[in-house]
Amino acid sequence: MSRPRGISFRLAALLLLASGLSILAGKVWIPPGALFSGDLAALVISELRLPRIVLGILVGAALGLAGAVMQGWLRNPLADPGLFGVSASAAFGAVLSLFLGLGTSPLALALFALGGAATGMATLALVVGRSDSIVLFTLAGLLLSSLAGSLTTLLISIAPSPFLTSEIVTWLIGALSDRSWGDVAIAAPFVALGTLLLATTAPALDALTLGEAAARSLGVDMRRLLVTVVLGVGLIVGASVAVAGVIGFVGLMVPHLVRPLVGNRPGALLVPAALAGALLVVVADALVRIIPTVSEIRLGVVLSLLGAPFFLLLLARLRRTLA
Amino acid sequence: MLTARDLHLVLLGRTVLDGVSATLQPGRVLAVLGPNGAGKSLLLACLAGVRRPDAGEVTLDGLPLARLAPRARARAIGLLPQRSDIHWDIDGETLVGLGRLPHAGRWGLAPEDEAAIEAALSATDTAALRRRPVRRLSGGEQARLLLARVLAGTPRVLLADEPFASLDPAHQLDMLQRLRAVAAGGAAVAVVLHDLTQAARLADDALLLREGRVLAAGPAGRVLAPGPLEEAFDVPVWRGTGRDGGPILVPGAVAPLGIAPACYPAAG
Repeated sequence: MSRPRGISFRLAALLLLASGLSILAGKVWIPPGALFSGDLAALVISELRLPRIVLGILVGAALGLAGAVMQGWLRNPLADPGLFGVSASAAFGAVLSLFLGLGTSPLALALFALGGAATGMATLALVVGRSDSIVLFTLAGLLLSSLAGSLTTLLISIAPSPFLTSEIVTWLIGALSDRSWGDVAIAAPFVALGTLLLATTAPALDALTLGEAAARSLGVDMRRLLVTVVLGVGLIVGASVAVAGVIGFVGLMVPHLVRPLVGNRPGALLVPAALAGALLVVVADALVRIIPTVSEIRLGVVLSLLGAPFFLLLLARLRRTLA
Repeated sequence: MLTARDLHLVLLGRTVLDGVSATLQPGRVLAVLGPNGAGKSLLLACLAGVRRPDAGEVTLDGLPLARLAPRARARAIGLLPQRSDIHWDIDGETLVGLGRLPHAGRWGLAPEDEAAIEAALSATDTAALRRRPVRRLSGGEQARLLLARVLAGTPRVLLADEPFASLDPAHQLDMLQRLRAVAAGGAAVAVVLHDLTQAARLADDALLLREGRVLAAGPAGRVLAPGPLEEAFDVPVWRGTGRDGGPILVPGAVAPLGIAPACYPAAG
C-alpha cells in the first residue's frame, strides 16, 4: 500500500521541479532573480509561461489519467482515448466551431469540443452495449476515429477560405503555445470534474482484474462504472482537446511506464499516471520551447514522434508474451 | 440460507433456466451437476446475484437479492467464476486482497482486512506466493490464490464454478478438502463440477440439471446414484465403494470384472 504513495510523492516532486525549471526556460532564459523584479521578465512569466505550464499540467494529467482508466476498464494495455476515437470526436467538434466561425470565442470552441467528445463516448457505449468484448470495443473505436477524422477532413476540404483551412490544420496539431489564463479557466473545471468522477473508479478497476463476473460478484455496478468512465473520460479529454488540440500517445505511454512501479494494480495507477502525464507534457513543452527552430515545433508532433516508436516497441513486446 | 425459487432465464431466445429451485444451507455443500449447456453456470450466476433471472427470485435469509445493495450482497456471497482470467500481473497478496473490496473503507485496508487476508492465505497454503507475480504462477497456484481471494471476503455463501478444472489430482483433493473446510466453518457452499466421484465425496446435497430443468435434487447419496445420473448424462454409470468406504462413481460400461450385474443397472 505504501509503495504507490511513495511513487506519487516522488512524481509530484519531479513535476514541481520540472515546472520550476520550465518557468525559466524558453527562447528567452529568465534568471531566477528576475522573477520578482516586476519588469518585463515577470510579465512574461505570469502571463505567458505560467498559464502555459498550468495548462500543460492539466492536459498531461487528464490524458495520463484517461489512459490509465481506459486501460484498466477494458483490461487492455493498448487502450487510449486517442485510439478509441474520443479525441478525434472532440477535435471534430472544435473544428466544426471554427468552421462555423465561432472559433473566436474560446468558450464556444470548448463547448463544441466537449460535445464532440461526449457524442463519441456515447456512440462507443451504445455500439458495445453490455458486451465486454475488447475486440468489439476496439473496432468500434477505430471506426469512430476514422468517421470523426473523415468528417474533419470534409470540413477542411469545403472550407471557404485558405485562412480557415490553415487555422483548422494548425489547430489540429496540438500545442500549448500562446495560451492564456482564459484557457486555463475553461479547461480547469471540466478536468477537475472529470478527474473527481474517474478517481471513484479505482476499486472497480482493481476488481476488474479478475474479469467482469468476478467484479460484479465483488459488488461492482458495471452500468454505473460505464457511465462514470464515459462521462469522466469525455469531460477531461474533451476539455484538454479544446484547449490544446490533439495530443496523442500520452494516454497510451504513461500508464505503461508507471504500471510496473505500482505493482501493476490498475486502481493504484490512477494518481501516478496523472502525475507522470503532467510531467511528460511539461517537459516536452519545455523542450519544444528550448529547441532552436525558426518557428516553434508543435507539441503534438513531438509527442507523436516519441509515441509512435514506443507503441511499436510495445506491440513487439506484447507479441512475444502472446506467442 | 440462500434460496432460489422457480428461476426462469431466457438467453438469445433459448430458455436456459426453466423453473429451477435450489436451497443452500449453512454448513452444507451442494453439488450442481449436469451435461454441458444444462444451465449450471447460469444458475450459479443467478445465485450470486451477478445475473438477474427473468422470473423467480433468489433470497438471502428471506431478503430478495435484487433489494440488497451490491456491496452488501458481495459481502455475503462469494463467487469463484469458471474462467478467472487474471488480467494484470499483480502479486499474490494484492490478488487475495481484492476479496476485501466489498468490506474496505475509502482509505485502504483496516486491521480486520489484513487479518482476513492472512487467514485466507494460510487456509489455502499460499502465504509463500504473496510476493510472486501471479501471471507467472502455475495453474494450480493461481487456482489456490483465486480461492483465497473469495475466502478473504469471509462470505456466508460460497459459489464455486468448476474449481477443479486444470488442477492435478493432488491439488484436486486439496481443493476438495478446502471446500469442505469452508462448509465446516459454517458457510453454505455450492460447487459446479463434472467429476462424479468427487461430487459424491464432497457434497451433502446434489442438484442434477438438464436442459435448464431440475432432474433430481436432494441428499447426495440419493441423487448421485446410477438411476438419476444415467438419465441426466445418457451414459451408463457404475457406483462402487472405495477402500476408504467412500463412493466411487464412474461413467461408462466400466464395472469391474466379477461384479454382479445387479450392482450395475443398464442405461435408460
